[in-house]
This record gives sequence, C-alpha cells and structure tokens, in this order.
Amino acid sequence: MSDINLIKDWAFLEKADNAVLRDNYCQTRDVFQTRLAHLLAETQNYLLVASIGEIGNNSFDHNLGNWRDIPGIIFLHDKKAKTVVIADRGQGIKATLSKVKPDIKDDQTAVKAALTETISGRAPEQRGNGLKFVSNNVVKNNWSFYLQSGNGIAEIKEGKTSFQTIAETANGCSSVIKYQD
Amino acid sequence: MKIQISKFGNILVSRPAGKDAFLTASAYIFKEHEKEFVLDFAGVEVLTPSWADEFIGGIKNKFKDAQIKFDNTLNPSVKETLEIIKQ
Repeated sequence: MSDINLIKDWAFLEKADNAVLRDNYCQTRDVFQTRLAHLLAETQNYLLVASIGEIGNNSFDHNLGNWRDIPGIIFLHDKKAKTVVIADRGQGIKATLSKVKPDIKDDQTAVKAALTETISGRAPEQRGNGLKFVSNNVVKNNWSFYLQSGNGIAEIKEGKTSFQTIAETANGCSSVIKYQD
Repeated sequence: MKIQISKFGNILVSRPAGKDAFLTASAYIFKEHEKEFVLDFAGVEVLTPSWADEFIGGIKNKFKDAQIKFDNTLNPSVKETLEIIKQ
C-alpha cells in the first residue's frame, strides 16, 4: 500500500499504527507551519498551500485537547504524484458540527454541510469558510479532492462533487488533494 | 492608516496567528478612533480565510465605523480569501 493510502486510512484505524508517523507527524501547529513553508518552497503554489493550511489548521482548531489518542496530524507531500494527504485521529466533523446543528444525522450529512455551508462547531466565534474555500480552489484549478470523516466521504473530481457513505469506521478525518502545476 | 500585512509574515494561515496579529496591532499599531484602514498585501505569499477572519474581523468589530480598503491583492490566495470572507 502506498504511503498516501496508509496515511489516509491511519485516521480510521481502531488502534493507530505509529510506524506511519515517521517524518510525517506534526504534533503541533508550529511543526505544521514549518511543513507548509517547505510545501511552498517545493511547489510555489500559493493556493495549494493556503488550502492545505486550512485543512490542517481545522484539525487543530476543532480537536485541541480532544484527540482520540494521538495529538496532531500526519502530513505528507508526494511531489512526484502531486498529492498532499492530511489525516487526524480527532472527533470527526459530525461530532464538531452537532454542537451547532444537532439535526445532523450522519457523517455524510456532516461532510456535506462542512463543504457547502458557512458553519462551524466553534460558535459563537465567526468561522466556517475553510472547507468552502478549499472546495472552490479545487474546482477552479481542476484539482481533485477526497475528504473522509467517519464513514462520510466527499469527492471532487473534474469539478463535480459527490457524497457517499461507506461501512462503519472509527472517527477522524483524512483529506487528499491531487493538484496540478 | 496603511498596514503592511507582510510584516506579520508571508505565510498567514491559522486562526491563533491571525488573532495574535490583531491583538498585537491593537496594542502597538492601530490608533484610537481610526477612520480608515488600507491593508496592503504586498509580499504576502499565502493567506487563508482563517487568518484573515481573525485579523480583518477583529478590525471590523473594534472599529465599527471605519472603512477598510485592500491594496496589492493579486496573489491568488489573497484574492480568493478576500472574496470568500466578504460572503
């Protein structure tokens, strides 16, 4: 299995496989910020770095002090595959949004709301544009995007967004962006 | 007053960093009863809605009658961020 898939799935394992962490682990925002500077140096792609910055910081914003077991995120940039993957073992989007939108019934609905509505679990703070920003950038630049939270999945490919539910899995989040120069 | 945003860094991505920038500017840069802000993004390479929401939202809340203008917004992350936080 590729490193990209190992990391993507790491978020949902019942027990975390720490072998995956290696150099990819960002326990704090400071480490993640340094990785973003490297990503910028490697790609010179401002919108990509902004999008990845939003996704990674979302993990810290919503899970700080509340991670399932391992604090922080895993971040990998595969330059050859032009792919960036980020994963966290946090509470997942449904748990986060349920605070402000108690009628969210499942992970797929939560993922859809996060991607299409201005909504955040950190009310009354004003926030909630992050994943919409990512989604807009993906569509405008013809990238592809995969977002999984719990068993809810959103995918954007060739400008089209689709949502699905897969078999029951643990909470957490993983995102994969495949970009173009 | 004109604020050189790049003085806060060239990669401006997180909410805590945006909030910290606003609080520092409130203490040392902004003047009381400011009527107009020109936010100059020259030299900023990466801007996200999270950082901008904390910084610009902070100005809007503190200086309710002030006008906010933007300069040097051609960087794509600056352009897209300003567009989405206006919505």
